[in-house]
Amino acid sequence: MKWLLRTLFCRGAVLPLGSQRVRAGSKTETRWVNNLIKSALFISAIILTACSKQINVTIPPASQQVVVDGSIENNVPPIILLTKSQPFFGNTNLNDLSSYFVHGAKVTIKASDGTQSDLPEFCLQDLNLSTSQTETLLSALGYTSIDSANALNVCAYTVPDIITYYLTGSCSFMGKEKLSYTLNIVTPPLYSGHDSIHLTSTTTIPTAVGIDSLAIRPDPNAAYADSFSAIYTYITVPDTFGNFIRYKTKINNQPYYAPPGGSVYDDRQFVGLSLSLPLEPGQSPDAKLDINTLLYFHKGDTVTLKWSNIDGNTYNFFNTLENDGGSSPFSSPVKIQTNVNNGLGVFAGYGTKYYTIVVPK
Amino acid sequence: MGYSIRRFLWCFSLFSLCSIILSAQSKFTISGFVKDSSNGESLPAAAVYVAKINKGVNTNQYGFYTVTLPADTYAIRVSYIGYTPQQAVIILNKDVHLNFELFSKAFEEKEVVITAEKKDQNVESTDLGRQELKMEEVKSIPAFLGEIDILKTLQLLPGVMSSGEGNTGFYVRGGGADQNLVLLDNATIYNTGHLLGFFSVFNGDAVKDATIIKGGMPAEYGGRISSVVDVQMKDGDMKKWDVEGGLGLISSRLTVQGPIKKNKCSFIVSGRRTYLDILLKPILLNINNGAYSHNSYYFYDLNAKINYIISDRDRLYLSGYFGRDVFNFADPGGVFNINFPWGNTTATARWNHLFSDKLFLNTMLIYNSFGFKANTNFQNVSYNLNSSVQEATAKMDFEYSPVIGHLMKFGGQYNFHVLTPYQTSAQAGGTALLTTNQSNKYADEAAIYFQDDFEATKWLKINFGLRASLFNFLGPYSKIIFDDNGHALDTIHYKPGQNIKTYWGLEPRLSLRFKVDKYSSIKTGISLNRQYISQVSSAATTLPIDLWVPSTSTVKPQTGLQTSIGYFRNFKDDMFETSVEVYYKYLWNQIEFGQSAIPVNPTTDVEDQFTFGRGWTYGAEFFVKKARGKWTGWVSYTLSWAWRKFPGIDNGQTFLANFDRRHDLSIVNMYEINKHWKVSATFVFSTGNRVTLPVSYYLVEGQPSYVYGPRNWYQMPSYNRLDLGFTYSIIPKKKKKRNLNSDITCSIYNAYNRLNPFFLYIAYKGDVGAGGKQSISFKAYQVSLFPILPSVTWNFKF
Repeated sequence: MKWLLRTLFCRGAVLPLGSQRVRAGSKTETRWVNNLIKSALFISAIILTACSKQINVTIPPASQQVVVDGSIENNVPPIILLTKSQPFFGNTNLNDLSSYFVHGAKVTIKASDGTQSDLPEFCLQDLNLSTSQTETLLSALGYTSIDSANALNVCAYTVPDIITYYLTGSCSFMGKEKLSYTLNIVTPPLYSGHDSIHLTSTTTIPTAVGIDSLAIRPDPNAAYADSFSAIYTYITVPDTFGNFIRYKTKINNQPYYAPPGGSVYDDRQFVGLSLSLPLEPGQSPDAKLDINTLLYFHKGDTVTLKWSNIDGNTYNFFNTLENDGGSSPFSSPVKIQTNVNNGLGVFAGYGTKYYTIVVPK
Repeated sequence: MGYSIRRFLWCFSLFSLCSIILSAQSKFTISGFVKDSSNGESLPAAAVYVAKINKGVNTNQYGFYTVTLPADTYAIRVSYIGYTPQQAVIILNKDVHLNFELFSKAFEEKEVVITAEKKDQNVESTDLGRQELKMEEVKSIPAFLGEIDILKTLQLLPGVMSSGEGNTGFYVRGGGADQNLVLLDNATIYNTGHLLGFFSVFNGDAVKDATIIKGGMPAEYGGRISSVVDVQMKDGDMKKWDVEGGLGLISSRLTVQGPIKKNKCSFIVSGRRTYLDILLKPILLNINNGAYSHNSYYFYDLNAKINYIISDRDRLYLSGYFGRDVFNFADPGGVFNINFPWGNTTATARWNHLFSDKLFLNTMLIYNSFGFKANTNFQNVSYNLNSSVQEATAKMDFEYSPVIGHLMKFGGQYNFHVLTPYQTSAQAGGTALLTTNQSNKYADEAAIYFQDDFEATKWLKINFGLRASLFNFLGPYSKIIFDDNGHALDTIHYKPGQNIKTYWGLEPRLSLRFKVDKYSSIKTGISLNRQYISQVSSAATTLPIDLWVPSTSTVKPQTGLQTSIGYFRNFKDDMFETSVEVYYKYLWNQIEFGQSAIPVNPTTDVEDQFTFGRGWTYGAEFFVKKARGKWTGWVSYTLSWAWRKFPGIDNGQTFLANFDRRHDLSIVNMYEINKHWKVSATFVFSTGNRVTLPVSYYLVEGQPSYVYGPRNWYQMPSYNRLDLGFTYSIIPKKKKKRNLNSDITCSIYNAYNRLNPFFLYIAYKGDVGAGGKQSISFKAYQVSLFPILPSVTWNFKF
């Protein structure tokens, strides 16, 4: 009998509804739901059982490209990570510096007001920072480490006096609202015998509009109301098209994380409206989703909201990235729209305002 | 020969048509209906043969035939597959109205051998790429979970490809799934599937027959560029009451039909419902304190038809279909629940009128709709989505047969379309959060057509047709204007009824049959078709949430030009039918989602995410069918290519469609062992579907993002499957009284349990964000849907 069961119900069936698909899920509540519909339809279809097995796929070697993961924010210096796109089906050890980070590039930034700066390369291990400073810096770059001895040796291109910025909050070149910034990058060749690579990218820091206020509301689900609350944002949306938002939240001492339901908004659907929207907490991309608490914050948490106005190209990058559903029969692959010429990734300008609220017990 | 050529030329002029009409006055007409003697069902495409002149005609969709001949004495023979032929001798000195009632072979004591002079329709007619399926044939083939499905049977024919494992969606000769016109009693069915397309909306008990036309579409059909699938519902038994039904693994069916007034008026009502939800309910109630008991899925269908013979010259049909899929899901914590119903509704009123023995008119009023709704509650946020397509049609089709072997069809139609894209609304704690007022899209469509089918010479038969179609995209409508980066700038508003965009065009077609000898012919044809309403799928499978969109200023009508040539030959007194057809098709204004499109995005008009391009497909189809005997069945093999080229995809690089399949083979066998036992086996093999897989990845903010290779660059492993079916008739034929019948059908889907690829995905392990891990690895997985699936169905009829 066992063999029959095994035949009928292929064991270890793993459905692609894991972190990747859900992350790829959605942005607004609407998209979240659309993906749930698809997933639910799919689940209903495979009540009869679906089998998933690992297979070997021969993927032809794709040439590596330079990836820009850069940002500039009002009152914050530009921080640019240069990495390489990676082939599939080999373990990539990110600490294998030669294979991951792009070293020795010449990076300059120029603002639309004529100011400019060279951005030299700094690697974390060369900075001799204290543990807390290391974590602050890593967190600013979107990385975390609970074990700072094994911290990833992140290398970034930034202002020469970056240490001063972390000590005093000020440095020689920082982002300003309403200015646009152009990056000029020349990297050494990725393959011997090839030419060096020239990349450019331009972004704008829009005026930081911010929100009207934050308010705490109880969790309507009685089972969770004792330990969770909702945070609502009150927003007045300008009555012109072309305003884009990205937000992240930081809970206590964690880094800023984007919400799994999507971090960017085009306010086209809200033009001229005053709204109150529930704030979805950001969380680490690797953390599991709990449907019960997805929209709620723990009582007693200190929540910092990083609310940024972004330009349209930055919006397009994150919007396509967050909506790439991968290869399932219910979605088509989404090509991520980059604002980097001759490379991948994004150079994002943020007009940010910060708000901190303590969720009362 | 000179005469032939002259006649050939004349026939192309309107003058000649008049002369034929005039000359016909010295002749007389025999006309009437061909019906099944047991229930009065009309028999479409029955052969009416006049031996003396070695010519014949076929009955039309309503079982009507007309033959015009010079005064003389004739033997008229009427035959239909599975029925005993009948012969009548007629002294033709005036117009004669003569109905035939044929006896089904099933009720004959002894085996009847049909001397089928006119069974060589496939060789005789000008039809190219046309195939008819009788329900009896469909019922003999092993069915997926015992659910008899006419659309899945069509997929076993050459040139017709399944859209995926167990799916009723199909592609014809390299055209998109939306390019098939699927009709149920002449009403368009916009979504043919239940449960993601695993079951079709056509209830086998309510369907009489289906015809698929893959090329050289007759002029009376329009609005789609690849194929027509014309499904006709049963008319209802005119003579006696019938109850028919089945108990299956997935669903149960019940059909009741009978005379309201004998030989005058009949009805049929047929229902089907799945009952997995009912069977599972007691189980769910006992699991986890009934936490899952709010989850259910079911679908149901209802077909109904009334058929009224008003007089010898007038007949009225009223028919309708209503089907819904309903899915309810609630998570045990009560945090999240979702309810979404979707389905089709159709209503058709048809009036057949005979102006004379030669002129037949069918007038139709049709309404059809497809709608999808989703109502969800997530915490205190509720969200509703609504999308639909509705259509109202008025249509008149004339058929005129001046002389035997000459049939003219002409008519016109008008459609009004209302297409609702995603309309969404959401509330949080009772306050409206957002409403996307994507306006409805309104359009109307009109067409007139003329078609002539005649024998120019003994060896040449010509069918030419012309259809003229007109389409208006109408207000009210609001259009958002975008800048180069796709960001909104402004909105333009159009008034109600305002003509926003008009398209029109001629759709000519021509097919020729050259008769080589009594058993073989060569046919060739060319046709141009236009399609004004399109569906763009965001996925590789057909889903209820895929939107239908009209042609607008942005979306241009799809146009298809198809040419094909085929050799048709029958062997052994038409016991074997064989054909080879070669086709080439060119498609303009094809629509795909752009490379960076986010398809289900209620905040944008879906058409702003489209990209447009061209397609061309070609292939060869081989078909061998054994039509009679204890062992029947067919082998079909298709060798084909389906190319696409879109400037907006991979910088205009040519790519193969995801359903491009180099080889597609179906082998269908049915064998009658004895009166009790029938066995059947179906084998299918096809080249794997194509998918777009990533070729490398990179990290931004610590998250992996993919770089995809060229569109559809990866070919999945091939698909193959064997299905087996066994039918045991409980009551032996000899003891049968009237209609009493009962059988048990077992079917085994995927008999050798092959794990066919349904889709592939890539998943990663490891992370770079948290936990200090700094490595990442990727693996590819293949998901297979259905393993070996046995099922049992009990069918009864009394």
